[in-house]
Amino acid sequence: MAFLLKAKPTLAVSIVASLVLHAGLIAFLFFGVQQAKPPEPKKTPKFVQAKLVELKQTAPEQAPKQSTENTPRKIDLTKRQQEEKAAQEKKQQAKAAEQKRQKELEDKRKKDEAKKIADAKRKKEEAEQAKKLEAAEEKKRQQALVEELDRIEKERLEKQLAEEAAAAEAAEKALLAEQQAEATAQSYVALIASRIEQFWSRPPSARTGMRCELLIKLVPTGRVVNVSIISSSGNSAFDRSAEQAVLKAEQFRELQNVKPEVFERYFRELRLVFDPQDLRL
Amino acid sequence: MQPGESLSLWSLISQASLLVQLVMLVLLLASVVSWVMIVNRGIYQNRAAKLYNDFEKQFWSGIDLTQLYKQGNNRASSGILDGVENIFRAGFKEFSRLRQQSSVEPEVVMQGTERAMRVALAREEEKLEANLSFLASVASVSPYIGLFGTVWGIMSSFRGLANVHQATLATVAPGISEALVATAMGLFAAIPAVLAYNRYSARAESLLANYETFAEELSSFFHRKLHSGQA
Repeated sequence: MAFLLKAKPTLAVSIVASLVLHAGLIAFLFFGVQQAKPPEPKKTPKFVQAKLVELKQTAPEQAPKQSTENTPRKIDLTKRQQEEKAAQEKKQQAKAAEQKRQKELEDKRKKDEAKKIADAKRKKEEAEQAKKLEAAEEKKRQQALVEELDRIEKERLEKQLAEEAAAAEAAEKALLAEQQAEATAQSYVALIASRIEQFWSRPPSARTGMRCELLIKLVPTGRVVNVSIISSSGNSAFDRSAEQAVLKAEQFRELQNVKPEVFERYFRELRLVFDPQDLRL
Repeated sequence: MQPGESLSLWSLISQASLLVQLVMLVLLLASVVSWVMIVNRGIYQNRAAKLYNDFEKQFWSGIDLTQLYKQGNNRASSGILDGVENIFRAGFKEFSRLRQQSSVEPEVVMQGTERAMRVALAREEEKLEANLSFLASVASVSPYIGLFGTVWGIMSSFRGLANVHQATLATVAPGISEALVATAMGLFAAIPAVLAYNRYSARAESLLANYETFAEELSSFFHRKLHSGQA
């Protein structure tokens, strides 16, 4: 009893120490793992690689498209310039008319006033000033036009880029889907091959390295419709045994799960290299 | 393979199967309890060693044994008495008690004193080595428990693999990583327990040897006193 009483404070101390130690360790582990989290997104380089390949392929296509788009824009520019020229001519005509009027006025003034020459000079100066003003206005208009054209051009470029990016993405997705389909097809082919090997009875004359290519015609239920040999192994017994194995397998029910388009592409007429691995000789 | 899936420790533990979680819980408890005992034994043995040194110094300083006994009376009644002093008190008490009975033979006095000291020694041994057997069993068993959890986790992760056409590493890796947490926890519980067990049992042994030597010295002292008193 006395021992227990005396032992209690040390026991409490040790319990607290142990709990603190474990809590600290768990907290440290959690923080450590959380700090180690950021490098984890490295998991996805596969997709990044696919993207890079796609973009490289589309990159040369972008350049010619841009060059073809540039020429119509130039045509547009010249058109506008022509229009501007026409407008200028009109304005000049208007100016000429004005000048005529001014000359008439000057004539009147000549009649009216004695200082004809000074007046004429003054009018000329005014006319020149007006011309300058108009020229300045014209410049401004042209600048505005050029700016607008630039803006339109930029918008078009952006749109084009966006469209190309979308197209590239779509192509990439299609490529990925295709790869996936191919992978699943490969897994089913492997399954079929292993099934055929199960049904295969080894002829005594079979040797290591013997392989023959079979053409297996299948229907979507997975049933074998026809088997023929495309390339022989050189040993007719081996070829026949392989053919027999396919016929014995009769149906590959797993193919019922395959998507129709994948089936049409890979399994309607399946070329299978029969290459059994368990030949000991 | 979800790209956003994080393999944090918590998700590894919380996504494990019930049995593996149970194993982890058991291992955590074992670790906590073994650390309680490690700290407790460490404190106790340190104090015992210190008390032994102090008491031996006092004993050989030429102090009168009756006075030494009386000094300890207070502590004995309050119950904070440990280690070698208990042996001394048991021996001295028996010795003086038997000596007061005049009819008792010196040999019988010696025998009674030695027996009393042996009993006290056995009690001290028990105190020194308390809980060490628990540490030993945690040390030897918890790796196996962790391994069991791991094997079970790997089994279930492979069973999940059987239903997949395309077996990739990504389909099994999380399960295996999950399962390996159990082994890690088992080792985490076992390693300190092994170290502590080895250290504390060695220390307890050396302390006990010290106690025994002291008991022998004390009995020879009593023997001398008995025979010089007769002569």
